[in-house]
Amino acid sequence: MAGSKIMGGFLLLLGAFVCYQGLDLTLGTPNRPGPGFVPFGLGMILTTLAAIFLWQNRRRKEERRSAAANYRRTALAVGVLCFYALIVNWVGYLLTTFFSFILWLSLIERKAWIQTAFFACLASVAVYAFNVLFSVQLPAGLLKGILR
Amino acid sequence: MEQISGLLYGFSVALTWSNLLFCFLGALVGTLVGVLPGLGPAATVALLLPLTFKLEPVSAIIMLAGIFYGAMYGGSTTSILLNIPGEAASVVTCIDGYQMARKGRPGPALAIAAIGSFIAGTVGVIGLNFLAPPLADFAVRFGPPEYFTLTLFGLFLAAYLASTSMVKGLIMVCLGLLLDMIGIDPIAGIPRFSFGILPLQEGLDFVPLAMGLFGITEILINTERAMKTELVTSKVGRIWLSMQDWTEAKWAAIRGSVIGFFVGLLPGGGAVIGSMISYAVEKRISKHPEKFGQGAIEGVAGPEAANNSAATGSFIPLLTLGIPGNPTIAMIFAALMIHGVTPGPLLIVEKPEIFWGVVASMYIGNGVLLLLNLPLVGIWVQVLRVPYFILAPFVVLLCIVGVYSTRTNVFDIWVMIAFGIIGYIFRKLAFEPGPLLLAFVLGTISERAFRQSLLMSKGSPLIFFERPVSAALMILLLVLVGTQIIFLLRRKTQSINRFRGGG
Repeated sequence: MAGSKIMGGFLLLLGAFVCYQGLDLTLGTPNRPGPGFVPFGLGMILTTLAAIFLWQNRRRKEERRSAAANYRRTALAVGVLCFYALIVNWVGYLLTTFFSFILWLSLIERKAWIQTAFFACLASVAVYAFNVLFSVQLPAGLLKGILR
Repeated sequence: MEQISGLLYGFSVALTWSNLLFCFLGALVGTLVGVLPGLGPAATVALLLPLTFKLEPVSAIIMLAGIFYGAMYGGSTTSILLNIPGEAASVVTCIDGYQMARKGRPGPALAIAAIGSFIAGTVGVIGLNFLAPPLADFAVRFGPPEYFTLTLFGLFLAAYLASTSMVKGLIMVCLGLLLDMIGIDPIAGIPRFSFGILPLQEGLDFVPLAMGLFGITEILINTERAMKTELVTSKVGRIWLSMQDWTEAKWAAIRGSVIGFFVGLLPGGGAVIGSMISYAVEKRISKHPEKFGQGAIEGVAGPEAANNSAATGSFIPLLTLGIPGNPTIAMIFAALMIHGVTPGPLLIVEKPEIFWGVVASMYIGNGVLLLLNLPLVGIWVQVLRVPYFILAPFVVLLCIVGVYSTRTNVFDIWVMIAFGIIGYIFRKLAFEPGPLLLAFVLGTISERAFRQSLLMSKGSPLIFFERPVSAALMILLLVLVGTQIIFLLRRKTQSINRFRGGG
């Protein structure tokens, strides 16, 4: 199924869900609008717009994906981002930055290991300097007690 | 005369060594931020906010203001040379600026961006200097109906100017408004759309949303393409304008300065809308609209001037009314509050050193920025020469650290990743994220104003037509909507007729 149609269908469902939530939050009356009043109205507008969007795209054929597009790289980039968010509190910002750079440069960019290690170290030093200079209080994780 | 003596006093504040240094630092960091794709002025101001705690309030605001208008200058360099907006307000500059660079004219494009920005910055600060008091008097009479119609008008314009389709633009506005509703209801005080998730009850923060939709999305798109740094030209050449370029661009820059300044005054109106309106105006009034999108110099001069004067103009509602009109100004508002300064109509009287000091620093900052962006543009081009495989993970790292440092919460990193993915899908389907972000910023102001208006009128929507300012805006809005519908229907009829004729 084409991307625009999936998006249109999703927006239609989202609009309906927002309307339902608006009703659930209580609509109030026009002279005393409740917390659900505006969400309900917006849900209605979104549903209408989604229906128009679907209607506009009913016969449109999706362009074939570009040959240059490499979704594997994008998926890996998202994976590295999730890896960072997942372990930063536990492992700490310094090691997480180091390992994330290793992953990014070796899996996505496929650079030589020495270049990868160099930039991973550089990034860790940079983030450390940033943390100290700007007093950001990034999570120290496993290195708590060593890092200030 | 009060303005002149105030300004002289302001210069005595701004010309101290420490304030000159902070003005220069702000302009420098702002330009760097503007040049680097994926990090906007709002995020940078948020990032550097803790640094200013130890500074004098006036020095802190001078530096943060410098970052804001410096980013407006710097954003054009990336737009022109890489076709990647350094910050959101430079999106429009990509259209013709990049085409100029591709056609071997990066020098004139960069020159008109810097000169246009200087003209606009000067126009903006003169406006701020002389018009702030009377404008405050006028705008202070605005009530909820005016605020609602103003925000509605701004959102409609944002959707209208979204490049691909009006329907897509309006969908993005709806999504932005809905995202802003996550959290505590501004009037009833009960949680909405938080689904029992504690961090959602505080609402979504602007910084992870903006960094996700613009920074992370940009990285994902470029990673997919295995992008190498796509500087369109290795030689920027002479950064100057020919007489013909100047003749073509000067009125666009002046119009852009005026449009941007007045858009900047409006709550929610800011550099992004200012540049979009300016581009639309230039295209509409041009004798050669077909040149737009192909490297028209007016398409660079107008929007670049508009985004700078809008940045300066948006200080007026902040400093005179205490209303932040856009996210970066909201960050500066937060900085003022942290320093125990309440922005509002009494600021000029109670803290003249802040009001006039900041105004005077803007005159100085504009001169500094012209120097940074004309003769020293080569340095910024060198920044862009950093290989993309290094730049990308460092920008991601900056986004992560910036997002985390705003509220020291890993949840915000997840929000940023989520919006990075959502933004990626939007980009694939040609949905512009700009209207969503604007709607997100204006959502609370808009909803509160709408509900208060209905409370005032006992449920009658006619209140929006009863007061002159809101009535004028509503009529203008209806005319715009009507024109759009007629245009769509005509196009539909024409395509049916063509189909029948062809059959």
